[in-house]
Amino acid sequence: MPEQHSRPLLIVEDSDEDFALTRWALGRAGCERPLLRTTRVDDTLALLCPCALPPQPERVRPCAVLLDLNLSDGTGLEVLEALRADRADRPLPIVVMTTSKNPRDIAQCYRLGAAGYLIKPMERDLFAEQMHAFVRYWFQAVALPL
Amino acid sequence: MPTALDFSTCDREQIQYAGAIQPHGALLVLHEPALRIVQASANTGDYLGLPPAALLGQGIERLLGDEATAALRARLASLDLCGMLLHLMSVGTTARNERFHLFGNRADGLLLLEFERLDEPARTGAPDLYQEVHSTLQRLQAAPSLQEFLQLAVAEIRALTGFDRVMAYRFAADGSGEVIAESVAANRETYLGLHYPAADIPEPARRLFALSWLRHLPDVDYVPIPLVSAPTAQPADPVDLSYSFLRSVSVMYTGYLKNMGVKATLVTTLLKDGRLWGLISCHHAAPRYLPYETRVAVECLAHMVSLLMGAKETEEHYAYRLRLGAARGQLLDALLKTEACDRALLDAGPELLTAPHADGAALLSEDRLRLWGHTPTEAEVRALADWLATRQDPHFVSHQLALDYPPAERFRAVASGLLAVRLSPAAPDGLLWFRRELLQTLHWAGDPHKPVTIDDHDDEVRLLPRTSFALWKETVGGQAHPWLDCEIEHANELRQGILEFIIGHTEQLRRKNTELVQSNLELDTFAYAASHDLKEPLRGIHSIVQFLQDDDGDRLSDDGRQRLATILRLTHRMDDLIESLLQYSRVGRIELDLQLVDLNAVLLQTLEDLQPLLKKNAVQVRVQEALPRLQCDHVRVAEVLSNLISNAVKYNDKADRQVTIGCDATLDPPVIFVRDNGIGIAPKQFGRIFQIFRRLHGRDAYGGGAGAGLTITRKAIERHGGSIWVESVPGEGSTFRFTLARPR
Repeated sequence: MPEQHSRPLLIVEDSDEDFALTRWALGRAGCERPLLRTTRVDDTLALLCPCALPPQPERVRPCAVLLDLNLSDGTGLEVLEALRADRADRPLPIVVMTTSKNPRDIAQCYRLGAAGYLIKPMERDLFAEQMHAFVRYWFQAVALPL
Repeated sequence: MPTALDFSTCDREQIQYAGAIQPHGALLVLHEPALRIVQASANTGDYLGLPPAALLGQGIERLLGDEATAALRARLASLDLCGMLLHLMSVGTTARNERFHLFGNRADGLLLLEFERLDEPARTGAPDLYQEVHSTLQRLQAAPSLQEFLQLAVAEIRALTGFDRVMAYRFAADGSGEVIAESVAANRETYLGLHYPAADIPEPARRLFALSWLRHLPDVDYVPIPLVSAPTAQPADPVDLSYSFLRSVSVMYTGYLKNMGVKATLVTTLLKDGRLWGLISCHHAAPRYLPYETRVAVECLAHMVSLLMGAKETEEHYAYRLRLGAARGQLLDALLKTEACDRALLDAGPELLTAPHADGAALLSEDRLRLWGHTPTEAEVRALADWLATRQDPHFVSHQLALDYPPAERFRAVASGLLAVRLSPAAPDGLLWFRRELLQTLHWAGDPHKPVTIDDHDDEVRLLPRTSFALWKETVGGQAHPWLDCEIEHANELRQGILEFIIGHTEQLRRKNTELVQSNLELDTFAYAASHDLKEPLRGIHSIVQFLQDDDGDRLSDDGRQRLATILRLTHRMDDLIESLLQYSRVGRIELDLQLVDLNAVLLQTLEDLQPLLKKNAVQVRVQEALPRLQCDHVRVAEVLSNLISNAVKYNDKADRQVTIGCDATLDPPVIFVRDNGIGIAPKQFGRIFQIFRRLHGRDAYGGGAGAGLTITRKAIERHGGSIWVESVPGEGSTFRFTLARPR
């Protein structure tokens, strides 16, 4: 399914260093999908929720999202919250990727419909392993919604 | 006379129906309007010149003549005469060339006429007498206190009457009396301060005293003169002599006076607001007759004393109220200036606390007890306060404490009187004022331990004043001076003021607490956001250094590579610190999810989570007692247990590492403990181990760590209202104990 494989992965991440690291780790994990990147709550919603805005046909809908919680104009929780209704119509796996170990954040993300919760380790190699697991699971093991 | 020392029979003697008079006058009983004589005292022959036989059944004109009778009729027509004996006129009689004072009283439809010889010298001296009374009144008005006022009054009356003892006698509410002022001839014993039981002046006598201003017994050894009726007439009902001046007195009274060696008495009444307040009693060792003219002066003085005394007493009472009010004001002012209520009361000093004429005072506040002056022992006061706390009423007033609270019998000497107010609905906290037993505080006249004088001659018990006093002592044992209304009011108002202060203070504390909670929350939120934001650049630094190592490491010197490695280590350490800060602020910020939690289940889960650590170190874990079920947040408690158990493993250099977990459920709240056989902690470090980022050992010793574990643990415990403490012997091990609820 080449078309399936060409659908991009959206990374919502406001830190350039972290985005670079993630891109590096995904590359090492053999992920060849195109990457989309947003850095804020508002541009993320603009991308994923066209119903609320004028249609933007040039944008391709991503197949999954890696969502950081700490964003410059808000938190990832707001994104999850805002997309809740939309995802009922068009399912979209959103995996949270954050430094927060707070049990409350974890519980709240799942409650808002997150498909997974990754705690970013400090160690680069551990992070690379985590990304590898992510790729294997989401892009090889499971089937994504259309 | 009965041999038992009981006067209560006297209360039943109806002395107003004596049916006889004293011999210093004559009495006629008449029917109106005819003014026909129906009874006469047996002495009319000697006294008025016509024997009863000549008078009975006759009109009064037989004695007075037509002219005087007409004047009498005119006088009677304008007067009521019920409930009083009034001087009507002075008259002569048809049989004697003598003048008499004529007094009248109407009772039970009869007219009583009393005759008393006119005393010419006294009459002519009367103007001087009134001058004297006038100056006496002026001096009385100037007296500074009630005591001095009465002292002056008795001295003046003694000067006026020539009696050798004049006493002011005051009745207490129970009818007992006390000699409160006395003027006595130099060679006579003083009775000042003596107390008499109520039975000494029985109720009928007190009632009669209240009816007339003045009673006079010129000779205690008099022979009573009976009233006689016409032999043909039906036996007459006894005549009510309540208002008669000549009425014969009770044999109890004369017996009593004889025992004291008193031959003549004069008693005037002291009334306050129309009620019997006391008496002025004059005694003389020889018979002494006081003519009407002097009696009028004494009576006038007694009237004035009564009037002024009321004002003096009110004045003195008012001054006392003012003093109480001032003491109260000072106490409450002191309260406002301090943080703690009991502090202010403790510093107030005894003079403020014992202001309501108390011999001692006690303050019980949050289990601390402070005593001033004469009080029961600390244990006795505490027991008493506990008993008071079982009562609904927050006020307690008694001057016979042992009646309500039998254990007080043991300390009745120091505390027969108790005035108490409670300051807390839930605790026995309160203020207590004590009054010593009356017998302990008396001003004794003479030797109180002198044996009772009983003369058993003729098998008759003769009472002497000392005997009465002994009797009175029996009746007032276990009693203190009753508390005055203004003293009770003082206690209640003080309680009100203190409660208002406590409520205000609590409100203030609550406000401060809310503010503190708010600012703590803000601080925690700040710490959380800040540490979160700190993490991101740190990760950037870390990954960039790793890329630098990978890509350019070969081109660096050994030193350069070493430095990159150090940067990586430091970023790790900083990440640990930030993570600890996050956790710490989280513990303070989040709402506790309180549920009834089985701690055994939490412990089991925690041990399972720690399995890798426990296995690696071959730790022997023992759960000594089953843990309780408690109201707590199970996530936080799991963190606490996890932290304490990993510390127990980490700070342990023994070959066989042991961790024991248990609980003392007999305590409330239960105390849970985690014990190890590790390296231990020196006592001087006990406080430091709970400080954040404080490590007692080298940075990487004992597995490293940020040094926030115990700080977070303590915060989690404190959020539950509990506390944590440590016991340790360096080299042998430590025991951490904690509770998860407020102390009870």
